[in-house]
Amino acid sequence: MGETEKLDRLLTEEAGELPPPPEVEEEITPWKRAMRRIVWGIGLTTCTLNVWNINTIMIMVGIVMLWLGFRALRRENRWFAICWGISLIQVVFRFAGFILNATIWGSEHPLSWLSYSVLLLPLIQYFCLWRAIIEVRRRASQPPKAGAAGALIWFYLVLAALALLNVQGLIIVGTILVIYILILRSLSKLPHLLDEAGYQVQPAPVRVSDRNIWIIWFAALLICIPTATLLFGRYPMEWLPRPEGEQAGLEEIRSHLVELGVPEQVADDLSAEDLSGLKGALRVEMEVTEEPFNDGREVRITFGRYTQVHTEYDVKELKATNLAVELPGKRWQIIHHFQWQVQPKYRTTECIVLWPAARTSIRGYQMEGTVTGRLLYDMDGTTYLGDYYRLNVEDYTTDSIFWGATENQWPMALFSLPLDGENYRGYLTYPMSTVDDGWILDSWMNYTHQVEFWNYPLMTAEQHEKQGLWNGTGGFKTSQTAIQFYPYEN
Amino acid sequence: MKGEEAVRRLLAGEPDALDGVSAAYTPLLNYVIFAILEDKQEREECLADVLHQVWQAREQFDPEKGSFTTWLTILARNAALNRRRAQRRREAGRAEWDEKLPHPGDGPEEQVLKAEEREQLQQAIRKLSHQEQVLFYRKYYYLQSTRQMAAELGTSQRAVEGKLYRLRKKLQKALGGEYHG
Repeated sequence: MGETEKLDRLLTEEAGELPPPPEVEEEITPWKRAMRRIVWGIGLTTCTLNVWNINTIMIMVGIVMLWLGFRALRRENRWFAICWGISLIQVVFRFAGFILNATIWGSEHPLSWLSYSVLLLPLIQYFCLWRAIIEVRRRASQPPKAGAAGALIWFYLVLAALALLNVQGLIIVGTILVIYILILRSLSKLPHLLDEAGYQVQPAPVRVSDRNIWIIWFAALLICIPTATLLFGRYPMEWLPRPEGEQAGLEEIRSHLVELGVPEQVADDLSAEDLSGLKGALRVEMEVTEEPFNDGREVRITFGRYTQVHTEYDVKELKATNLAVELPGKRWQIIHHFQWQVQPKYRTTECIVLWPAARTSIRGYQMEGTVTGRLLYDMDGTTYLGDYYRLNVEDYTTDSIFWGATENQWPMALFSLPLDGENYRGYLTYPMSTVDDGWILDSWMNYTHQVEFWNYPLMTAEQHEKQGLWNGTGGFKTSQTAIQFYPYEN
Repeated sequence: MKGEEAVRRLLAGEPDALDGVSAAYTPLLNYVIFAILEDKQEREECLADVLHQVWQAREQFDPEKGSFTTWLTILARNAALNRRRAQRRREAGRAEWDEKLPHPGDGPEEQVLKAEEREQLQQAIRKLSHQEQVLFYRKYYYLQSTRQMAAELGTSQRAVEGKLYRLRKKLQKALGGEYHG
């Protein structure tokens, strides 16, 4: 007899005299581990907390727990097998969803047929779970009842109906909380449905251990999510080298503008069409601002008993040049130019919203055309040009705790900065005319840029702007600059 | 709840209570018996034996010493092991099997030695982590196969074998590396 066999024999003999303590005995069952996973899986995927990224993490963990739980029981009866199949589909859907959420298309799809089916799947799964437990109990000659599992179906049905009807308000928060509590109560009762019958359950053998499944799942997410963000977390932009002598023949207009005060860089960046439109310029008004996209540093200055605290910015990443060029016939061409003075830290999505001088709240001006513009950058001595990914007037509503719901209709430009090169810049311009003298000319450029590393589920600068989030929150910051002056003395 | 009611009635000596106990606890008894006995008929007979013992020995059950399920588990384990021993004795011949059984006529010296060993083992088990204790009892108390353990723990048989190997090493070290089996 070998050493191992001798030891095994001794341990077997002695173990007979040492019955397991209750806490160990409780663990030695064929179903508790699987049922615990199912219960946690349902809890984590149903009662999600929509705070920070907790709901994403809950679903990431819960969906795998569900699958692992049903994997162990899949051969017990056909209802458990269906539950397992559904949980596998859910894992695939959710994985695709997690990847999609790392791209700019993550939240661009409103509730579609796919979302409806994702909502429907748990309902079918809970029904099958209810049937599966009844089946186990019946086989163990126990009453075929599983009230807690049946109740789960009804509670989820109410929850799904509330989600589909998109009911909002405080009452709904209370209702959902009550439903969550009822669901959790049902879930706590669920494992006890198999307290006695569960011993006859025979878990299916597995080829890949639960531990390895967890490793594979999180490794796949850790690889695929950043990769998806890197590849598809930016707008697809097209950049072409600037044609030689683009401003040829327009030197006179250009030098006249520079004489009037237009900075060389702005004059250089204008397209031939925009430059020629400025022929005969009468005067130029300009405001130049340097804007930080960092938190700066806190500076404390003490004067006797008083301490003054302010933030100082050593680096101001964005230079904004806002110009109003007066043209004959009381016409104006407004130019909002920006230039990155350092390499931006994050190059995901950018958004510029204009509040033109000719807007409903300010009478005195009217738009004479649409907003146009372009983007530029330099690399290896060559200047590259690109169009905005999207440039049009957007209608959207923002909610604010101070001003309530606000209807917006502003020109909006969306783009991504290139990953290589330097001196990223661009401009937006529009023509307008004076209708009534005496009104302030007031045109704003709101440039939104990502300032924090963490951005998952991926939010675009456009979404940040449209959600009306407080400036500096949500990982984005908006630089607001403007040109404001009274054009006519009287 | 129904099981608990049947146990209460059984302990009160109500003759039809055994049906209730049987209905509630047959899956548990089978769970213990199936891991030890392979033959279908042996399993069925063993279950009947255990239920008979439950009725006969009901007054020996002491709730202060452990739960009813623990008591049932002990009865089922012992009954199944006895059957397995008898079966193996029939198959392999009494002489060969007797070598492997603890000698019925252990002298006082050996008995003291065994008691010391048991004490040492108890201490060693107490020092194991919860997961290791679960594995120990699955293997040496419930006598579950590696296949069954792997399926119930959601892991591969290879992983279970690895864990058992480490468990043995740990216990071997704790027991001083010597056995008097």
